Amino acid sequence: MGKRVGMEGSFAASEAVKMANVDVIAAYPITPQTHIVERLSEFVNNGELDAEFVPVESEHSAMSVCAGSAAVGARSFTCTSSQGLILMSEIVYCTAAMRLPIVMVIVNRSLSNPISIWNDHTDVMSIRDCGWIQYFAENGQDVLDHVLISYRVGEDRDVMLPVIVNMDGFSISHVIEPLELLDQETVDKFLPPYKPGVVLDPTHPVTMGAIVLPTCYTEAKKAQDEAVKASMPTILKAWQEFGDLSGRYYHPIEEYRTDGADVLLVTMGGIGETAMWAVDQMREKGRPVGLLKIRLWRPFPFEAFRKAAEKAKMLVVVDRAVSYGGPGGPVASELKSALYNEPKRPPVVNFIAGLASRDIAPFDFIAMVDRAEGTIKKGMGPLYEIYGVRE
Amino acid sequence: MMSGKEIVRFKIDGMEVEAEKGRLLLPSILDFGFEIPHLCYHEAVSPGGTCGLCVVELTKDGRKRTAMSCKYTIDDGLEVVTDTEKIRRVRHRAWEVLLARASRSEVLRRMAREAGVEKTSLEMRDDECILCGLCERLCREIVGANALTITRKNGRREVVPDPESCIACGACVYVCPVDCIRMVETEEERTIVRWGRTLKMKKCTACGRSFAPWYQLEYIKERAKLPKDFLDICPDCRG
Amino acid sequence: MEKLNVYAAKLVPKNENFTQGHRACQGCAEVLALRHIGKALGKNVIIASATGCMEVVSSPFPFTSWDVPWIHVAFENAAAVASGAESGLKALMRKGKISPRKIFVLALAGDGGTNDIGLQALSGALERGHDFLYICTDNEAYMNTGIQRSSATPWGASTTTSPAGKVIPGQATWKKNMAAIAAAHDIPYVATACPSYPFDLMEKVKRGARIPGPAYIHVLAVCPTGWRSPPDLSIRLGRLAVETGIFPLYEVVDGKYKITVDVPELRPVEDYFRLQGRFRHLTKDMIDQIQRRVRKEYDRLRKRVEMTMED
Repeated sequence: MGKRVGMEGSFAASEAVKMANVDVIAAYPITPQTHIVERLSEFVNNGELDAEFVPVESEHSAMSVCAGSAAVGARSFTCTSSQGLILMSEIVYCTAAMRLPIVMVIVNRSLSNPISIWNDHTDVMSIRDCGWIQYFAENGQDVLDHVLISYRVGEDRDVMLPVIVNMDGFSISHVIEPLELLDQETVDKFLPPYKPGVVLDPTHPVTMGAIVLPTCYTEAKKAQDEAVKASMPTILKAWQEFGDLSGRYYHPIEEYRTDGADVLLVTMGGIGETAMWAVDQMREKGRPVGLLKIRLWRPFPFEAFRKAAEKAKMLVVVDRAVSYGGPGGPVASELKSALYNEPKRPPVVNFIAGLASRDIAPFDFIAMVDRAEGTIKKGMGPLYEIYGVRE
Repeated sequence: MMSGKEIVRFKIDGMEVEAEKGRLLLPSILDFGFEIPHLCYHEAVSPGGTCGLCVVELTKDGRKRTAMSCKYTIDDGLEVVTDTEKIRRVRHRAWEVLLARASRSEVLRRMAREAGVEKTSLEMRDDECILCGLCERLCREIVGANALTITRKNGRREVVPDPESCIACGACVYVCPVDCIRMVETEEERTIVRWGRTLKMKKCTACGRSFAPWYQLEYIKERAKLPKDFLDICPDCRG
Repeated sequence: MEKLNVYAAKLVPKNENFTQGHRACQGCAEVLALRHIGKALGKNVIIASATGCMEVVSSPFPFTSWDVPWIHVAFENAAAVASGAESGLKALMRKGKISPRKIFVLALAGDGGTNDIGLQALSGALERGHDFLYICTDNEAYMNTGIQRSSATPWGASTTTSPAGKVIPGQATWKKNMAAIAAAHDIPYVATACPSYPFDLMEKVKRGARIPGPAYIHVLAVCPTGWRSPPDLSIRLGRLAVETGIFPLYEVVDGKYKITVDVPELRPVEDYFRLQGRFRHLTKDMIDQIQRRVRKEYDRLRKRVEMTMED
């Protein structure tokens, strides 16, 4: 067992980066990501972590620096939020296609305009199809564990992909929680030093990032798609091993009180913990409501989801991003498409809530379930509803 | 490109590397980014082994020895070490020898200082030249003018010019590691100061600018069997 | 040094790190610059290239012209990718994960990838002091996309987005002085070079790479396709750019300016213009205006040399 401490989510991320013995950190400050880089700079400047800290002039360069450092075989880390993420998004796509196993923590925050520093998932949804493995953390412990798990998975020779760990801005990043720090010995056992395959090395020259004509582009993209899909067994294996070492077992979709549940709430990220309260309250009143928490966003765990949703009579999906003029929130769209070809598919009611940290209290989840049940009774309503709009 | 050539594996300071069989050790070591001091080596001419700086420690079949890396051809399984206490001692001595040979050379003194050698205990020779012989090898092997020879005068080696053969091409100026061969040029003439050779400059018949010493052009015409008026026009005007 | 090119040329390494088979246009001086750069740096280099002509012509999958490690990520970030490679090597060597040795890191970009879209990444990398060399091969427009103007396009030049029109006669702004911008970062080495002066170019590349800390070299690369000039005149055009004073060759070592190929008497700029289609429309007045500015700029450079001369 490791040491138990009180620590905010940001520092948990920094601790994990230190324990992973990262070689290069490149980052640009943006609220609410700043605490991570501040702590990492302290580690480097105090000699607690032997790494190059590259204080870049933009997020675009942060990701570019990581591309360069990962290409020479250095374990690389960056983190950002919101506007920073969409500024760097060009290179986010490049690094996945170049199969560079960088790890990035995104402290999720709304996108401008109007400018808002608060939390929702609109930033990361803008790069949904970037080709990275994407994970949503639920609390500080989750963040700490998943920075380590991400390096283990991304650097696996069967995977070789970059990994994103999402954590909600402020509600995870700035909240002090009790968590367990793994001892270095355990970490080292779980996460061996990075042994890159192909690197930029003058003794064995390679060309990376070549131009490809239409004759080969499709094949390159097919290979990339297969690579992301094929990472699933490695992720599951890493979770299993991590669980055996730490006692904390993770799953692509976590189920909470789903036994005999007719209605399933579906959440992603930090609101899952509040939703658990709401489910408890509803269960106390005898309502058959359960909860699915999506942890792994890419590769999307279709099989696990279909199995979990099999018996439900209705899904109430809470999204934290808007697809303007589109079919609803990104999570709900994903779930609908996952179910569409199934012989038995429950109706999906979608609420978009918690934009820019607008509170979602347990009673809000209960209200959503109530509303959803009402909607279904009346026959299907609109595709989605932006919840809690003040009028 | 390495294709078609036999490749041998060896080690430099513990790093496994591959190179073409038969290659000289010094350029291979430099290629892999290991820094070894050297003054008398240039890849275009044959090695001299005269400056003594590029010494390394070699282990082959369990036998250890030191050797000049510019004259050693690599072979399979060789283990090279570029920096040990012994190597440092040998290099220190080599710097001292060079400092004594070229006591007037500022350039050399600066290099030696950077290598941590300030002075020499040997008898000083009043010159700027380190007697590495690179200019002589170059003039013979590349230029073909054979304007330089290395002789022994009173038991001492010297680079002796034959001013009549020198075409003032300046290749020796370019290659000299301590910049002791200087060239002065005007529109009218070019002088290689150290060899005491002055040649008139040829003027381009098209633009009127001078572009090369006339004797150099004669030499090229003769060697390349070019027509008499072929080099009357400068490269800029030839187009 | 340039006068020694008859026999000294034979001393240039025969090994090609930028090899044959690339797809560049006939007479491209930019690939020539890359060849010289490859020879000057030798094997022990890692190159980060920006998007552009040189990236496209050298790496058509599954072929490559590079016999040294080379990476291309995007258009505007060559300096940042190079920063990353340098930082990565530094950390890995310090931590004993790879053999400590000297590996040069080179960032390569065109004028668009340097003066325009890559300026921020370049400025950041220069300011942070990475030990790397940045070389801009400047062909004075976005040639890869079809000759659109950039901030490096000279005043008056006709491009597809600054055409010589009836009202506006070509590029309406003066060429951005990138070498001066690099020098303003107070980095240890800045230079201008041109493949028409190969020894000068190679010496500068070697020097820039060897000096610890960031170095910047701005290379003028004649582009027959974009400049509308005969491909066999590329070398001469480079020389004329220097001899007219339009593109002076100099270096700035620790803030000290030095002209490396001095031109005691500048040729008239017209000698340079009349060989290029992009300047065909220039009137006498416009040429006079350019001539005055070139003289002024050259004098200013000379003054900088005097002002920063060693006491």
